[in-house]
Amino acid sequence: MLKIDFATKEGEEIFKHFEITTMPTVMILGPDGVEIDWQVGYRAPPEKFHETIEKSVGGVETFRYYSDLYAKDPKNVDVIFNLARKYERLDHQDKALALYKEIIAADPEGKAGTIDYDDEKVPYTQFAELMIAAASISRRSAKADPEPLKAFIRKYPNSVLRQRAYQDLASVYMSEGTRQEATAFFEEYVATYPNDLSALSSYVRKIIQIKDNLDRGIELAKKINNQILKSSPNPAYMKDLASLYSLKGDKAKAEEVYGKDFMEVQPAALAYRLLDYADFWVGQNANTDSAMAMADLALKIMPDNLNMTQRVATLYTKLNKPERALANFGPEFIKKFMDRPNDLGKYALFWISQDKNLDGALVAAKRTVELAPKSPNMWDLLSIVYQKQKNYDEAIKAAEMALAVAPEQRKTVYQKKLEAVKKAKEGK
Amino acid sequence: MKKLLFGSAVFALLLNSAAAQNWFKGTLDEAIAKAKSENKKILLDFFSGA
Repeated sequence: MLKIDFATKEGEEIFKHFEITTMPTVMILGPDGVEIDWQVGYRAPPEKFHETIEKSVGGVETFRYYSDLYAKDPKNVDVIFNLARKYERLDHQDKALALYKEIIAADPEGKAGTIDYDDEKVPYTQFAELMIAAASISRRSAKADPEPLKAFIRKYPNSVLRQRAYQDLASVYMSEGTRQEATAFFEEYVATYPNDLSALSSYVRKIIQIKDNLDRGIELAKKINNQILKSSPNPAYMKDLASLYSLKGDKAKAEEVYGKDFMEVQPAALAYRLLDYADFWVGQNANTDSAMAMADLALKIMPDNLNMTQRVATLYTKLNKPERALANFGPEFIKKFMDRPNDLGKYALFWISQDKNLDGALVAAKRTVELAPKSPNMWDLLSIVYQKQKNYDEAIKAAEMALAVAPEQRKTVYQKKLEAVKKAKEGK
Repeated sequence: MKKLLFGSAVFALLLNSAAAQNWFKGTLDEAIAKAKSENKKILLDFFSGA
């Protein structure tokens, strides 16, 4: 295994030699120093990526494998296609395009094979046609020519690949073409895909860029935020809407949709999403390191939120990491919320329910009765903690206090509780 | 200009610490000579430390 660092002179030479344009790239060479296969970019999860590398190392469906087959059978469309994809991933576009052209020549009717694309079967030939059309707008072209992609769209009105062709065209019209051409294209794009976020948002950004047709932009930006994203507005799209209002000179509207009221709730929303993620993966008993990291991050965002603190503690308890639960929801919490009887009560109840940290629960429960001496609930809570610790004499005293301070209509309840503690003491 | 899909030497992260210490220290030519003599494959991890 050898690291090739682009930042070094020797590394840069090796990048050039193998025509590597993308980082990271992992390449496997044979003992002869010739390429066997490569993997470009990284896709999580790491285990899956590792498996892919192992397959390359093991010689499974590698570049070399398809090259050898191609040498023996140069008309095999399946082989040509897989070889073209290998070159395409490595960004060797000229070699890929030459092979895509061979596919079209060998199988103009598109019957020789298909690939899966967005859960649909797409003929190799059709895919090859799209790749060739898309090359006309690539960064290597002197000037982007949208016509081949438009022709593709016309030729395949029902193809799943049309959406990809539209996306590619949108990238062209973001920077090229006249204002009228761009507007005509984007109108067609959103008419074809009226609920597609990519279509709508790219048109909105074009409108912001050209500062024209602002009302149409507002209409589309509202559709994104009010109809498509609905309950979970995305700040990036709200910013687009605010930009449009701002361009119209309506600062109040910009403030309304993207002002401080909107932004102030975003950290809390994020914190809850992080915690939902953590809960999910702890429930699955997988991804737990990431779950813990996200739970900790959620607490950093909202350090004084009792509900969140309690949820994180529950999560750590489930993971059998009481020390981590206590780090967030332990003595420090009591110190911080020393004057809040309800929060201290919830703290004590939490640890009673976990049957752990009963000493901490006792400290909290004692403090609640100091703060709220006329609350029968708090005395009852203290009694419960003592019972958990099997300190029945103190549990009885606390239960008697609960009965003493309880209002007349509740005395029966606390009387029964007192009797239950006494009975528990007898039966211990 | 190089396209950066991920900011670091990802592959190194996927290996356990023992394996991660097995990076060849010499040049590519030296690595190929060694691979040839041992009839082994070479794995190249292209990244940028800049």
